[in-house]
Formats: sequence, C-alpha cells, structure tokens
Amino acid sequence: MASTVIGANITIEGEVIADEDVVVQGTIRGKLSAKDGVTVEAGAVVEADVTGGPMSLAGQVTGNVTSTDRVELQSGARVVGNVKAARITIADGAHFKGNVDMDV
Amino acid sequence: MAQAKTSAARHIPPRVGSRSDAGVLGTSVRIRGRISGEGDLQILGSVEGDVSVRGDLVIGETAHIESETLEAQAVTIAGELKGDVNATGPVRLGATARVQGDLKGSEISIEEGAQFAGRIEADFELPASLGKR
Repeated sequence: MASTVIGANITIEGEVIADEDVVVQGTIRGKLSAKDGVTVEAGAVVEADVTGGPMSLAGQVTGNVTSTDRVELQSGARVVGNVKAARITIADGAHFKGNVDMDV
Repeated sequence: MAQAKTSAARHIPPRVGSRSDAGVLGTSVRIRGRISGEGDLQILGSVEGDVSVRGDLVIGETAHIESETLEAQAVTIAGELKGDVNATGPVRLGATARVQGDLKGSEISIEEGAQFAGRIEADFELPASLGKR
C-alpha cells in the first residue's frame, strides 16, 4: 500500500526522502530517495535522481535511476538518464536515452 | 462560522491509485524544499521548507513542519509546526497541535489541549456590542 502520493497538481522542489512507497503523479525537481517502491505515473514529471526499490516508470524522468530491485519502463514512459538495477524491462512504446548498468 | 465546521468535517481518505489533485505525504517521508500545488495536500511526515497550495492543507498528528510560511485555503493542524500560516479560509488547531508562529485566516479556532505561541490575525467583524468597548 502506498502511503505517499504526490498528486497531479503538486510540485516539490527539493529533496524527498521516504521509507515507504511513493507514487508520483505530479512534479518533483531535486532528488527522490525511497526505501521501497517508486511509481511514476503517466503525466508525472520527475527531474531528479531517483533511488529506491522496485520501480515502475510511466511518466517523464530526467535523471539517474538506481534501484535495489527492478526497474520497469512502461509504454509511454520518457526516461533520460542512466538506469542501474539488477533487472530492467523496457516496454514497447517506452522512450529511453541513457546507459543501463545491470551490475554483471 | 458554519463554513468552518463543514470544511473541518471534510475528511476524505486518500484515493490511492486513482488520479486526483490531492497529495499525501506519508509518515516516513522527509522533504527539504518547496512544495506548491493547485490541489489539496495532507502532510503526515517532516517538511523543511515553504508550502503553498491552492486547496486545503491538513497537517496530521505525526507531522513536523519547519517553514517560513504555509499558504493554503483551509488549514487544519494536528501536528507540530514552526512557521506562519497564511490561509484564505479557516485555520483550525486540533487538540494535539503544537504551533509556533503567526496565524492568519478567515476564522481561527483552537481546540482545548493545543499548544500555540504566536499572533492571530482574522478578518471578521465583531458584533457592534463588542466593538464599542
């Protein structure tokens, strides 16, 4: 259960640190660190380095993404930055520019 | 006065998964920076920085906020706040609120048990009988 939701019309400029799941529907500029899952929904804008557990990205992410688990780039996602994760999926229709580091 | 009661009673639980304008910052979340938005916002975690929303702002019991100013429509505070409140609607301090700062709103209410240090500025007209003193 996600207990933090950054709503569609909310903008955060700065650093967000969470020990729980984070769902982003709005805008974050700065830095996002979660201990658990991160969901960036379609329409969301994240201009930040993102670290966390399992991630599902469907919105626009500009910044480096680091996950201790898996990263899923959903169809319609727009990700510019390096992705570092043990597992990664890029769905048909996802836009991605950057490097992938699966730590092999 | 009746307006303050209706907005305080409007406790809508967050609809997780559905798309809405509302935001919820959970108990374990710490934010350093500026938060702005058009919709409602519920803060249960820690915030260091200014908050400015067009909708209603709810500061939960577990929240710690240090800010220059909080701007919102109706503001309901049950947690800890160091900073000024500039509301266009009513400001309500619950019994568990600990507030250090100035409050400005259309109406201000402070429940028994709340801790408050600061000034209160509310735009309302006193009844003529009180104003003459």
